[in-house]
Amino acid sequence: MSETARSGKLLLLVAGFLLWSSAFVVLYGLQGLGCRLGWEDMDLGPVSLNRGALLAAWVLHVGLIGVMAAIQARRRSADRGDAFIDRAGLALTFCALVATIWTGLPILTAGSTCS
Amino acid sequence: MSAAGAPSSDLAMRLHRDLDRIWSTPPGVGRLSAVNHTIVGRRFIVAAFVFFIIGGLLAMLIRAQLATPHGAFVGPELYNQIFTMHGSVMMFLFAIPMFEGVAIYMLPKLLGARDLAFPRLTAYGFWCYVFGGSILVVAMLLGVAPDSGWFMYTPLSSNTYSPGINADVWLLGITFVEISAVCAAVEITVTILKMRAPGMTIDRMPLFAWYILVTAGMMLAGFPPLILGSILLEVERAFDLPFFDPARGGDPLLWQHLFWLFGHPEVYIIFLPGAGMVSTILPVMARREIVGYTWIVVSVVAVGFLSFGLWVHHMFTTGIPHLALGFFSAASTLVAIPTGVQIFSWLATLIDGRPQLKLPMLYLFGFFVVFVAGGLTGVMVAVVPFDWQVHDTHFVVAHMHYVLVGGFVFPLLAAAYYWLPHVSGKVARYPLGHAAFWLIFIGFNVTFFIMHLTGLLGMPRRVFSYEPGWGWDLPNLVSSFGGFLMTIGFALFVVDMMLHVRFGRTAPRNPWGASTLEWATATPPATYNFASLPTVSGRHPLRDTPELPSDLAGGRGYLGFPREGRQETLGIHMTAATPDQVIVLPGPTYLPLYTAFATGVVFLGLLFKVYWLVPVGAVLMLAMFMLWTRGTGQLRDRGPLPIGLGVSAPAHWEAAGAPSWWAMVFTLVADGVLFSSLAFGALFLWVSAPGWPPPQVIDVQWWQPALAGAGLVAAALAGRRAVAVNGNADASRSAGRDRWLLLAAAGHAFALAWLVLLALATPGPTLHAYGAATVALLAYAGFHAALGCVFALFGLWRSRAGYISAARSLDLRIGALWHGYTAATGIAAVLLVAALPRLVTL
Ligand code: HEM
Ligand SMILES: [Cu+2]
Repeated sequence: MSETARSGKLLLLVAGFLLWSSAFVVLYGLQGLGCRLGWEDMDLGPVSLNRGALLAAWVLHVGLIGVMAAIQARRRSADRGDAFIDRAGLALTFCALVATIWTGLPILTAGSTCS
Repeated sequence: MSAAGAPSSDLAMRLHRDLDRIWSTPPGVGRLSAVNHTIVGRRFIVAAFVFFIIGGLLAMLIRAQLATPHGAFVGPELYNQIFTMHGSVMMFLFAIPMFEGVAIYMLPKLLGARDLAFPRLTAYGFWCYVFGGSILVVAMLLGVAPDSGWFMYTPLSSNTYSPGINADVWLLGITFVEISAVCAAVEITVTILKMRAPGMTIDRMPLFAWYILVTAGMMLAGFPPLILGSILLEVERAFDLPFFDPARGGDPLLWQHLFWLFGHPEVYIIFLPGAGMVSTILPVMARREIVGYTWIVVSVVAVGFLSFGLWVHHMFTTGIPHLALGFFSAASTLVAIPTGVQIFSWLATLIDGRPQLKLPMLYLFGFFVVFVAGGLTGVMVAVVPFDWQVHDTHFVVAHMHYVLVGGFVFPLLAAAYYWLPHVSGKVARYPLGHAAFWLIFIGFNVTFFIMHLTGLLGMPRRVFSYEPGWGWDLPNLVSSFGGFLMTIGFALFVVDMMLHVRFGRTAPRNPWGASTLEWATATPPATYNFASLPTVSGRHPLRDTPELPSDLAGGRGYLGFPREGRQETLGIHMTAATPDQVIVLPGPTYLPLYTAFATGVVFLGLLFKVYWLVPVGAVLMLAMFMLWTRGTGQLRDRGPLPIGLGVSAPAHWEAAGAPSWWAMVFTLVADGVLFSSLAFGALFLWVSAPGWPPPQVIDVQWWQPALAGAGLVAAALAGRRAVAVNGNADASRSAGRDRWLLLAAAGHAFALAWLVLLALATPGPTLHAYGAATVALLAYAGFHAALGCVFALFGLWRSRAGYISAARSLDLRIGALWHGYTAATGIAAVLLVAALPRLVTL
């Protein structure tokens, strides 16, 4: 269905922030889950397993959004509406990137992950 | 001048008469059958204003009680009802419906369409809103209004501490109203995406539409958690399933999560439409195009998301680990940035433009002052040590009202004066609006500015009385006096509106010199808005083409002719904005009213615990909804229809992306959020609630849930096959299609049976929240399977009745969406049910 395929472009506007939402939910959920399962007291190299898992989830999301931004930065649609989606979408994905980095910073700074 | 404002050529007159006959609503009692967006939008606005008056009177009662120490006006029980009702009425019955009303009235006109996508749904939403609101108001008159605060915290609102009917009134009444909000959100989203004027690519959309689009999207994601929370709490109260009872594995914090997951975005759901009005009116007043269109769009979308990452900041004092709080604090600091971007855009527009201090501008000035002040105190309470000082004092009441009244009520008043000439066709004759402004503005600040001080002096909120001599006497008296002034101001506003409608002078066309499409209609607008539909080639259609109104009235746009007495408007391709279908809309009917009655039966049955009424009402409701479909669809293929200007497009039931198909997509998005919240709730209880693991878990073999899942998958695949077979051009398709539909129904029925068996096998749903959560997950899947059965059988009936062909496949495609969704969530639900027993022992 070409309609649905082409309308999918609208998703470019929100793709970055959907990933941000995912990062948010995963980080919040993982933190609680890890504490419930006692990951705070298990070591993963220099950090606790809980912090390690959180770091991994965070870096993964930042990476994904980064890739998303790179893809969007290269789009050059001819059509007016689509060109707007390219521009605004890139700006939004970039905002989402900054937001995801910022939201996850407490993982680096918090003392314990469970108190 | 004809009513349509056309040069009075015979042709234009005849077009107007024909269209008016097709689009008009019968007079007298027949007005109850109205589905037209102009009429229903107006009704929403009036009803919401009535609730504003009720909420305002309650506020006056609060101020009368608090004016002096030892106020003898009302006792604590009544005071609790009054402030709970004030908060609930203002948030749920005034602010949200008011913005819906404005959107319903304005959107089609701003976008260049003749109505919203689902006129009967508009009307149904209206009746649900009025009935649900009435339940609350009647309860208040009978002295059994909710009294646990507008946030209904458990355990205060659970059976133990609220044994009466009061809390049920809130849970059921508000959920009833919420149905209307979700309906509106779906309808608004589809309308904005699919029904703009040809040529209106999304970068040419009026900013108001952007704001409303984002708001509607937020409602789709924000309301389901609250609806879920209300259902769970009502089930706990009625059937003792202990979701929120810490003694039995539940957790009051789950309620707080679900409530604030809605509650914080709610603040933005109220503010964004206000900001949308500002972004619409301000450039017109400043006589300059808005500065930074793209940046505004970007910041509105960003706010829409970020505001969901803050909910826990209402729970900072509940002992959540610091790291988790850190995530939420971080998001809280971010959300201010996009709001700042908008404020700077507005200021830049003002500075670079040539602002005129007309009445709407005066109210916008009020908005700026009050809202920015509220933002500043917001920054103050965001500082944690400061928050500890003022938490739950009147300082917070002051802050909250600066934001809410500044962010919504002042823009709304500006909008009232701005669009009044459009609604009434008149301009004001008397300068009362200025006096009203100053009374409201001064009264507001006198009431709430000093309240900051009252709060700093330590006066807690939600107390019905206080001792003299603690320094609270004078500031409270001043606040009450200010409230009195404000009330006079609002009364004057009402008088002004009435005088205006009764004695105003006839408005010139487009009195403010605006450039958006709503001013291309006649004022007041004709029933069909536009005699023919515009083509748009920029952001300022009226400025780019000043002769547009007369062209449209003369029938020189799209669809400038009546066809077979049907109500027609255009659908466009979402991004390219080329016409891709003729949307045929239903005319006036009583069905929405009757369906809302049937819905009311369900709710009243639950409220008064007459449980046999509930299924009766539900079946009635379903039957009514089936009747809705009677007038839709066709018995033969029509192919492309001419739409004027040499272009043709198929009718919507022959088009790929019909509005109802998209409506199902967005409904499922909201439904998906509800399911995720439920799954989150189950996991949250396991991870965080006291009293786990449960004494007993369900004893299932892996193949039991697997069979349930298999039934759902079979149904989903059969639903897809039915669509595919239907598309094949061979002659045997109708029989094949029907067989697949039957199989889909059977798959759902099979799954349903297994889900019921699993639910029956769940040990002690009332003994532990584990059992309650398991049953809730199974019930969710079972409900969807049951409806899936109905969808499949409905498709079968439509197919037998001849409504379906290769071209006319809409019913089947909508059904297929449902079947697919049901399989996806159903499998997730049974997986979770099967996994929980293993998880809880970890
Ligand atoms: C018209 C003038 C208004 C006045 C004089 C007023 C007055 C008050 C007062 C004194 C309280 C505190 C009650 C207490 O803590 O004991 C309150 C609470 C509240 N108001 Fe208003 N209000 C007004 C308008 C509004 C509007 C327009 C809204 C929302 C759009 C609103 C929403 C709320 C909410 C949510 C609460 C919290 C109730 C609670 O603590 O449970 N108010 N109002
Ligand atoms: Cu908040």
